[in-house]
Amino acid sequence: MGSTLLITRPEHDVTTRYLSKWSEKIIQEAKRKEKNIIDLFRSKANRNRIISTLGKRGPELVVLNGHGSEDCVMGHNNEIILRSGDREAFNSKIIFARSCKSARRLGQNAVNQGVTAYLGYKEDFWFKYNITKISRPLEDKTATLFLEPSNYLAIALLKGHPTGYANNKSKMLFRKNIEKLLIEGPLAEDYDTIRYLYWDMIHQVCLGSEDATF
Amino acid sequence: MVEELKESEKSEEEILEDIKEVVIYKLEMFSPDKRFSIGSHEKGFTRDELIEEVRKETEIGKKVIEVELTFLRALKDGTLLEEVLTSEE
Repeated sequence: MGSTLLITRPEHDVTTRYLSKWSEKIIQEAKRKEKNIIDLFRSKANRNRIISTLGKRGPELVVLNGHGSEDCVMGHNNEIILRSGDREAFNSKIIFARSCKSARRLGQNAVNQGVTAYLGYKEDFWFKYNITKISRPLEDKTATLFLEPSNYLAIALLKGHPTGYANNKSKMLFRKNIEKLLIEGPLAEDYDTIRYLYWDMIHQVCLGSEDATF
Repeated sequence: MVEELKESEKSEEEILEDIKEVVIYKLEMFSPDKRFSIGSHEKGFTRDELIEEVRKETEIGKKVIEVELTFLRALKDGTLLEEVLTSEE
């Protein structure tokens, strides 16, 4: 039996809808790599489901999408699905949380309690989107500047790259987008997003082992 | 020299007001048909809503200021350019 990806995709507001739609690309890559996939979509992204799945099966890679804070990550309708004290849930190898601030305390606790590597953000994760593209997040060029680099973190892991490399490669894509906008100059439509791309890039971290692979 | 003296005489409150003006000036240049997803705020923010948050010095407003200052510092000390120039394939 191959390795397993668990991914949460709450979808109760615009932010989670964007993260969910962009996560379809991660799932596609996991299918290409013939991984087992546990896709906790919408109401399935709830605490009971997460805790029992993490405890029983210990998926090797966990990708959490949703709102968050220093101590927790949330699921559908902002239910807290994982918090610092969930010792029994930290037997997975690699966790990537695309949520705000969770790398500050939850991530460090997870690593201290047995997770090999925790990738995420030490600060708020910002992205900008075009209100005319809300129904088609994958066609939103503004949001793409943010979500493609962060998506690549999970995709690099699925390709078998180590955690440290995946983090650096993802940051490189943020840099490339900043570079592209700097070259296009102040008249570029999304020139003003540079400051937010830079913010996300410098606060994206890999805690624990940089050599862990999926 | 006189200008420098005046600068150094500014109170923290005055400096914060100056910073807010700079941040608001930058935000005013943003496109009005885009929204920002920030933290756990479900609705996100338009440009004008962010300007209001900065004016009122709310938590979000303070965060917007922090992002702007981080960016401006990176521009000033060359960190941003260094980051871009050192990006590797």
